[in-house]
Amino acid sequence: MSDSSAPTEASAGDHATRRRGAPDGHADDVLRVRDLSTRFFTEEGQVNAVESVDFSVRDGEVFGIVGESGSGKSVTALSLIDLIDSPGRITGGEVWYRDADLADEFRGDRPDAVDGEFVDTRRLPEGVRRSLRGPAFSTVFQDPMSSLNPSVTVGEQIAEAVEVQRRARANPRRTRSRTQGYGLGRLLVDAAVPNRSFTSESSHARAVELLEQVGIPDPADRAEEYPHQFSGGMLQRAMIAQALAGEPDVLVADEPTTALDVTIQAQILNLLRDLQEEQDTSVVLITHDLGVIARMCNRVGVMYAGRIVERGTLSDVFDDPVHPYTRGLLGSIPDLDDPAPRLNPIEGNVPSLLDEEMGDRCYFADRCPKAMTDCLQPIPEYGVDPGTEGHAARCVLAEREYADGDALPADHFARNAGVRDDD
Amino acid sequence: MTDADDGAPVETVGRREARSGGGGAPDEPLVRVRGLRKYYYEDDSLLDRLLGREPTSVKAVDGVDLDVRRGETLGVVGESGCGKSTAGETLLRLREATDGTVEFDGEDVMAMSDEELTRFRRRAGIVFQDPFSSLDPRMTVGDIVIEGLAIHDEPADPPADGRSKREWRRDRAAELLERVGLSADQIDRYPHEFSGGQRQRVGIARALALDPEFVVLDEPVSALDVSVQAQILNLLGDLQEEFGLTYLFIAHDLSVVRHICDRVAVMYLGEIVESGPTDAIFESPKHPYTEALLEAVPRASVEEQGRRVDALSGDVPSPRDPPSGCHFRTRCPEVIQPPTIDIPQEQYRGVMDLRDRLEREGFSAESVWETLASEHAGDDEFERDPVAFKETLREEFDLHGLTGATMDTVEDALEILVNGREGEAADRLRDAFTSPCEEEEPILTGETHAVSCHLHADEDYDVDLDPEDVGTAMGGMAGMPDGARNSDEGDGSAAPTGPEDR
Amino acid sequence: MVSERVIRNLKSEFRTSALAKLGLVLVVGVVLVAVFAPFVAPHNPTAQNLGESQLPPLGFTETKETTTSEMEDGEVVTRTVQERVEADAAHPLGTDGLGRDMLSRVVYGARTSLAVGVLGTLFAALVGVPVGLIAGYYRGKLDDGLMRFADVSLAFPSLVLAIALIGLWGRVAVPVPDPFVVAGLVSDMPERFTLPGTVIIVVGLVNWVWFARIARGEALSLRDQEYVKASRALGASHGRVIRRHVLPNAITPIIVLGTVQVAAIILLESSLSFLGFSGTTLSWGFDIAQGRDYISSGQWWIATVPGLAIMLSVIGVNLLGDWLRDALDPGIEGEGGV
Repeated sequence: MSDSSAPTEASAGDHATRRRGAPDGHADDVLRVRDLSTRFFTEEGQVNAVESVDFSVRDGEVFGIVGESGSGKSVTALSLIDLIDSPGRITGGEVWYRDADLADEFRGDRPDAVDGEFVDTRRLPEGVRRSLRGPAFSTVFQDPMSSLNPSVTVGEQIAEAVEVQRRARANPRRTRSRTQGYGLGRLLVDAAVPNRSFTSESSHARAVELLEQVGIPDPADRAEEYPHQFSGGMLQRAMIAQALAGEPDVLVADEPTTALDVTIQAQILNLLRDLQEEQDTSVVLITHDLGVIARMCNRVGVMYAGRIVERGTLSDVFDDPVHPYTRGLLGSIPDLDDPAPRLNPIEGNVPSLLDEEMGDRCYFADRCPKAMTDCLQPIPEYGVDPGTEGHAARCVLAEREYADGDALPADHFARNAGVRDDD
Repeated sequence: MTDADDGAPVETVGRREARSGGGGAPDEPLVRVRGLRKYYYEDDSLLDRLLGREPTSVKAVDGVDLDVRRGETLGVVGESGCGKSTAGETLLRLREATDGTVEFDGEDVMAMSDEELTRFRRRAGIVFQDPFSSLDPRMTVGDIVIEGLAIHDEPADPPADGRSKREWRRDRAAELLERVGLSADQIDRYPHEFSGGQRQRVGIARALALDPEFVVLDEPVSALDVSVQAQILNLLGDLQEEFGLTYLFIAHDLSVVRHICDRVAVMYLGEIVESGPTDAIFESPKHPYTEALLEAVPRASVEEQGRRVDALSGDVPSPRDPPSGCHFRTRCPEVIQPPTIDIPQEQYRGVMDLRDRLEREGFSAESVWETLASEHAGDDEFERDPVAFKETLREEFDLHGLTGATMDTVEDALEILVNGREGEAADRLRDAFTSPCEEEEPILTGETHAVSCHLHADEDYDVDLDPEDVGTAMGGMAGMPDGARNSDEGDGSAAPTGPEDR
Repeated sequence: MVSERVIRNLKSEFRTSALAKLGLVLVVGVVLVAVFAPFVAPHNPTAQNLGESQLPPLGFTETKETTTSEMEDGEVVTRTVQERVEADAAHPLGTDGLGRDMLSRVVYGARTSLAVGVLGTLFAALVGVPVGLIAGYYRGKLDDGLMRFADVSLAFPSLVLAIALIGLWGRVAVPVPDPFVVAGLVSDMPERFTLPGTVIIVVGLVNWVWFARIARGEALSLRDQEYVKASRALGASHGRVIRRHVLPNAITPIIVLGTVQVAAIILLESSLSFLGFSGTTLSWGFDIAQGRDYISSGQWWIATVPGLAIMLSVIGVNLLGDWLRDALDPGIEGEGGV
């Protein structure tokens, strides 16, 4: 976990100038992610799931991360909230979170972890980092059925989240005390005596209130029910209620509507928007659905093979895409309002993320219709147009025009074509 | 209804090269489904029977009529649990139907003998949704692709060129793999070595091996990433043209359906609520459910940003106990009010929701008191205040602003509810607010563009007619030359959506 | 049938797990000993030598009391002579009450245990797997009936059931000539090896239910797999679907259960021979029963040595089963890469 160590091998060459601290952001940023890398060390080899990812989230905005399966978008979400389990590990990068109090507290002890009002959560002690889950970061996952305990009532589970946050708040010292109420000892006791009541009447009342807030009818009755008695949409509402228990600054929503039908999805998206506007929460919305991104987000990052290949405002990315992958993605979805006779898919398949097979090149080059010889070296992130603030792409086309003369021969990757050889 | 409308199907067929297989006349549909029902029974085990429990029926498919014409793609679209996949599997007789008939090229599929069924299986294939569970992990893709040939012992005689049957099949597998965009040297690999899109290609090759005429595509691209989905959709289109295939395309993604289908049927809770040419359905939907579905789909364009959708309220009701009358009425934003009532739709919806809650979910006045109490937690002074009670309900069900007799009735009901008599309150509301939509099941009416909704029912429509009889008489789906023609209103709005649009 | 992935899992699981190695060593050891018993055993296990009875294992000394009674002067005089008995290198594990070599008996006992364990398991699987597959695949009344019957069988204490069946059919022992002796490679060893036929049938009938249940569970989930539906849609008969799709995909948990069953049946066989229901006297359980009388008089090894043999082989087989289960975990199989 020591961040002062040298940058990891694979990311070393990517950035010509290594940025330190949390500068060069927008004044309203609440979260700045810099050079975040997460790897999985599996039987098959090292998998670079997230590779040097940079983005920032502003106060009260919805930042969207869009990508196909295997693009690393969900691992990014888990990395933000520090929920990467073995064999995975966050191997580098910084997650700067704006919290003036916390910054003051650590300015003396850990000057390297503080920059103005920001703290680098990855350099904070484990206990502090964990205590941020809830009041700072909170999550909504794709599958509510497996995210809730089937043998505890929904109300009890939300009340539990409320109680954890309440106890934490009652103790002004942020460091260790926050987690004491729910430490190992408590876990052991809970395991031994499962129905020991951790929650109080007031946290139950708050749970009912939260359920009402997310639009669950008969909240008092429904709080007494078990997850299997809820429909998918209602469960997702309950998950959101649980995530709201700590009044988080940043809500990370990982494919929150993917498992839902389109009419229920519309309900949940409306709810998320209402809550976000009411409470001025920032949301990191992760999805594969470009339509959901378009409806919900202010700014967007497009992920491919573990990297953000293009980011900018919604109109930057949707109307002026630079990266051929972004263009391909937009060209492959059928339009509901205009039936085109033929779609323009991206040829080929999602690449392997095995370190040994990745190589130091643009990972999209093998599927790219505009691949050039320049694409065979590591590609940094280029600002697309100095005029449009924050529109950036990891693509040489942001810097130069496509030239037929430099095009890669069509069979350049032929030996890698066909079936992936990772099995 | 004019004769010009009847020309539509012929035009559609002409666009692709229709195969003139079998004995049916060219304008006869290849597949004709009438009154298809599939019920599942729960609590039906030996023990349940010993204990004398009544089995509950789950009406997965509840009276579906479909015509699939030669060479066309008919889309069946709906949300999860609407019965679309069950309908697809039942009409191929992969599940035994509870009731109804399926004719394939003039033959009754449900009545086929084993031998006839074997012949039918060569002519009708299926592609499944899940590229992972649809391929046997212990077989090579080559063996998977030719499984159909092995089952039917194809070729019947050893090939003339001296190859063994086995070699012939292997060559055929290689050929099919190449055709669906894989390479022939992958023939000995196992499914787990392929990505989702490639596995779906293997599934398609398997369905094509027996050279079928009709293929049920059961959500073939739902599990795939968008870029791969586009590859598969293009492939399916190409194959249809090349082999003159007829598709039944089952999907929940409306954009995909719009892209690939010639005609569409929209399903809700086991029934078809609207059907017609794709452009008509997407550009001038008639059923409030179709409208709501189209409204809810997020579009991938900048204009979508911040668009607020009038989302349908509530969840899809359980098919164990579907609502009476029109199945959609519990969520419908345009429920017809009884002649005596004329209030804004939101308030009518609120009254209906309150009543449904009282009737269906075991709602009790006590839970409202509990909610009130939890809001006043810690407040020892809190007492049961009837005014606050009623206000809570008015708030939740949007009952403010009612006037006159309507208000009196609702207030009466609330008063009864304060006193804890839920059933009586429900009765009270039922007496005054019963909608025609709940009393009677609408039937699918209209020719080319048919809809099952009281809003679009013929004015002269005889409310006492048994819906079952009408359903059979109507034949339900479009293009029935012998179908009863009693809907003028429906056809009027379908007129602008002719084949020339495509 | 066994893919490369399975083999890789087996290898990697084996590398990382010390217990798997121990299991394999124990099982391979027992199998080798059982197969080559005539070469491993230093003596004929049935040869009695009263002069060398009750010798302790190497490293132990034993005080042997001989009580003699004589008529002396019209009275019965009882004399107890205490004599120290040293272990004999020719009998490393000592000898039993009749002077038979314990090591040789244990070595030959491995044959019985293993033969009953493996053959009994095979028989149980042969009965149970088809029943389970058919019940799970077809569901309905057939399933109800078969599974209720299976539940009732399970509710019966297996030992009682086994004893009842043996009582019904009697002890049938099948003599099998020992090929090594017949070929003249060794002499002085028993010419025949007795296979306790009834016991094999009985333990199979007692344990088939486990196979039926697991096969049924697999078939229940496999019948709803889309590849089964796809096969039906191509026109495959139910029989073909069960043979080609259900059985091959259900085989992994059945193999894992098989190893566990071998251990269970070894134990059951020992219990039956202990109680005297086996058809052979060359069995670990039989020896324990023999040695039981000597424990109170201090000759602990006569019962303990075969007991240890049972323990080691059962542990070995179970460890092997754990290894197989971990390596063949169906959750790992069939996933589509990263």
